[in-house]
Amino acid sequence: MNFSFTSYLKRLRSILIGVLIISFLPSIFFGIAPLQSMKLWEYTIENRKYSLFPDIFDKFFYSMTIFFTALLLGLLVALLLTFLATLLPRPIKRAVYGFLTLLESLPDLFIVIALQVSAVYIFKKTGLLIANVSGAYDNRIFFFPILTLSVLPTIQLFKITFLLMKEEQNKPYITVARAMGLGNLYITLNHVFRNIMTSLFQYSKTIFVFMLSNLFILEYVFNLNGIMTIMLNTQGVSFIITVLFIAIPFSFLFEVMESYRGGLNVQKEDAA
Amino acid sequence: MIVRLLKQPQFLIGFLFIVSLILLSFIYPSIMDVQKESKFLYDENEVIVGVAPFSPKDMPPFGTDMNGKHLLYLVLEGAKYTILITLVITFLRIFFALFFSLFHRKSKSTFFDDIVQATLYIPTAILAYMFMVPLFVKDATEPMGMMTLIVVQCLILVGIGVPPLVSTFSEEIRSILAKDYIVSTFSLGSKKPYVYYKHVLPELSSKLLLLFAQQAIQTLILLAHLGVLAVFIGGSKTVMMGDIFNLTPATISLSGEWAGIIGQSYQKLLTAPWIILVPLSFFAFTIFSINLMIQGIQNSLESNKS
Amino acid sequence: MSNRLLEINNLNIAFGSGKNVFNAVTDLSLSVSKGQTAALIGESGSGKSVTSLSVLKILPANGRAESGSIRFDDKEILQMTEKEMQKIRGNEISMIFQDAIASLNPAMKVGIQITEGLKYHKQIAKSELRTVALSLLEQVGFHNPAHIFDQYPSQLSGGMKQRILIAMAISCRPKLIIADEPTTALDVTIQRQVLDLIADYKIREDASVLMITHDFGVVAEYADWVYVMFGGRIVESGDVFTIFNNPIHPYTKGLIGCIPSMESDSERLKSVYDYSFEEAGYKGRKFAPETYSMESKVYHAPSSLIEVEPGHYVRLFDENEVTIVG
Repeated sequence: MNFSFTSYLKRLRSILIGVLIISFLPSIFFGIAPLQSMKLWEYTIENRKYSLFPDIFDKFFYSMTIFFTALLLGLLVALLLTFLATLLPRPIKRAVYGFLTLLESLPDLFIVIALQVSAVYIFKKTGLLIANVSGAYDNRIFFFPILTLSVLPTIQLFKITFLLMKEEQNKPYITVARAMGLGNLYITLNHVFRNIMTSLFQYSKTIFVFMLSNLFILEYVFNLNGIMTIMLNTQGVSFIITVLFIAIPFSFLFEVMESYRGGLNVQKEDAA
Repeated sequence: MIVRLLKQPQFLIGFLFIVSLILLSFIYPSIMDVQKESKFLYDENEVIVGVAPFSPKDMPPFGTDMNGKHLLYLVLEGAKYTILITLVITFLRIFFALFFSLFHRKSKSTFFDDIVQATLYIPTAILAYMFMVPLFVKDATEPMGMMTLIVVQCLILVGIGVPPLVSTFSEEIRSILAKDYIVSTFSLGSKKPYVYYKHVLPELSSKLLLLFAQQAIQTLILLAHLGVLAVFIGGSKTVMMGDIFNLTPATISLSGEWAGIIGQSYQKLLTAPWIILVPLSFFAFTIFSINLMIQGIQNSLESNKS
Repeated sequence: MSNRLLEINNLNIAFGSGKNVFNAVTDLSLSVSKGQTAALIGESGSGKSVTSLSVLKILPANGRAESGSIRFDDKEILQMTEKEMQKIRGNEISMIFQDAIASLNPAMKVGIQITEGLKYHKQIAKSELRTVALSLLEQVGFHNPAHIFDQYPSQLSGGMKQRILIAMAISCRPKLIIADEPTTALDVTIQRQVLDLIADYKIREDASVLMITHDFGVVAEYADWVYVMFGGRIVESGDVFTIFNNPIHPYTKGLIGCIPSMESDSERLKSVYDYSFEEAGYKGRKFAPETYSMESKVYHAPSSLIEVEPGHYVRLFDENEVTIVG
């Protein structure tokens, strides 16, 4: 672990410049100044004005709660499924993989809408309200958004761990472990899973970025009032602030992960 | 390369699905005499028993939309626009990104890097929305015609995708240039343009097809997202709908691509979900066939290596 | 009770199924006596490693032992269940692999990896595991075992990793060690050190070693009995002195001829290929197989091992199959 604070600051500077460019490009292209009527710290949803502070903290934490709970849930389920998949015979494994490709092709929008519609359908048919499927301004829902948001990362993580698993099981050290007389279960849990978790790290950035995009669609369709809704409805300075709210913690995470991974790579190069 | 790809069953299936969808889209509405609309449903005595929208149960196979237009017709009609727009956008993205990364490398392009760093945290749909909204405002004040609008919109969607691709390409080129055989080529005295032309581009080209497919998927998803946000390719017009007592304004997509179908009925999601789910499933199937093609490409690349 | 610890008879190993069957090992018989070192020598692809994996029943998923028998300590290994095998692996037979760099889990401290076998096979208290591991590390020549214990494989050199693997292999005091080209990945200066470690263990514990190698130098120094393997078959076997003093099969001659000699001042180093066109037969019969390069197709006519002098076997084509040639 060799986290460097200066490189984090450099990254932040780069993000800030990027957001500045992006936020002013539209007005440059189309010659329209950001809406004059809007005050600096305001955003509008359906023609009603809200003040950015202190709303944004509340919404930020709401969105992040959903985000990370869903991520954690997805990871746990994916690992569990991978473990179960190892117990399956070979031909079924291939079928599972094909099925995963099919599931992975579903756009996030499709999953969000399909789940919402089916929850409403079940409610209409049986009167059983599984969960609240739409948020009102001051009525926060957690269960259903988390469930929905976790579907796609679960599929993706499952597919990745599934592939990694296949790769790991053919590595020489597994043969060595078997030659030492260790049991299959022990090898899977103690060797294979440990190494999968390390490799999984390098996919984390892709998954985070992908999930942020999902989070936006989720908030829009479920009418949740989270940070992404603010980002959609702001311009100029308040837009930059909103983006930074997400960028600062997430870029910190990325920086830490990359430095950790860099550390591992250096070790590997030493060995070679 | 292409012959080998066609030997991959997965690639072939995906490819055939997309090609037949486009062909069907051109042929079906013009050649076959299809019933395009049914606004009302009559019983044996010619008494009206139902008003659009009809569910797939009432009007197989897919039901109708709010105006009684058959979804099967709409979806097939829209397929050509959706897929062609996607292909054009994807092609232009790759083309410009390749162009920039080949000629822009010396300055270490911090401009692109900064933008890429920032776009990581902004969902692409929001990014596109930011550019589209001022465009519509401008279009409202000084109309620019549907074709111009489509071209500008496509350019926006191209522009959004280019910076991340440039950084992907630059990284790829850097890793190719770092390979031993390139170093040895340089040490034997070859010039840079020669190495780029003879070694870097051929090695990049195998990855290009893969990237093209992945970009196409991303473009499709972005289009769907924009549809939900009521940003339609080709613009929209507002019409009055409903019966005389209950007039409501509704926005209608002009180009008829799938995202437009989704967007114009999005508000009716809970009353008539099939209007949204049918075009969405077509999105899903198209993406699935592209995924199959990707799988096929990867298989053939792997067999190429070994 | 015989003196033979490991006895393999007429073993056939095949990979794949249907049309793609590939016979990796054909009609292989060998034995390792107690307290002895047997060497299995041959070029890469001749089926040496597959033989060793089959002794532990850890062949890759598409490979299987089709017929024959493998007896260890008078028990038939091919008939054992997976549970029974687990008790033998690592505990009574252990293996040292050739690729030390890939054979250790990169994400696990080496000390922990050494103790895994112990934890599994012997009833040792958790608190004592570390002490045992440290003494094992010392046995394989580390002067600062406590430091090494907490290292990850990537922090060690190739020779150190190979010694860790040896420590793992001897941790449960097995009766038989299979060393699958233990020195291939190492540089020449370390090779001797590693081989001596294995030889030391053999003498200390009165264990047996099955040494798999392609280096006749190693065989000359450490082995008691030699099996020369080519194309999945044994082509010549005998005790080490016979094989070196009186090699009969041209392939064996070729291998021995490849060792550069200090005395001769020939301009060119010899290769096995130089011997492959030797048309001479032995007592009117032709040597099997005919060509001694893996690049060309091997002619698999019926052939058998013939005892040419007591304890010295050579593979020749069956009498009626091929007639000879000068």
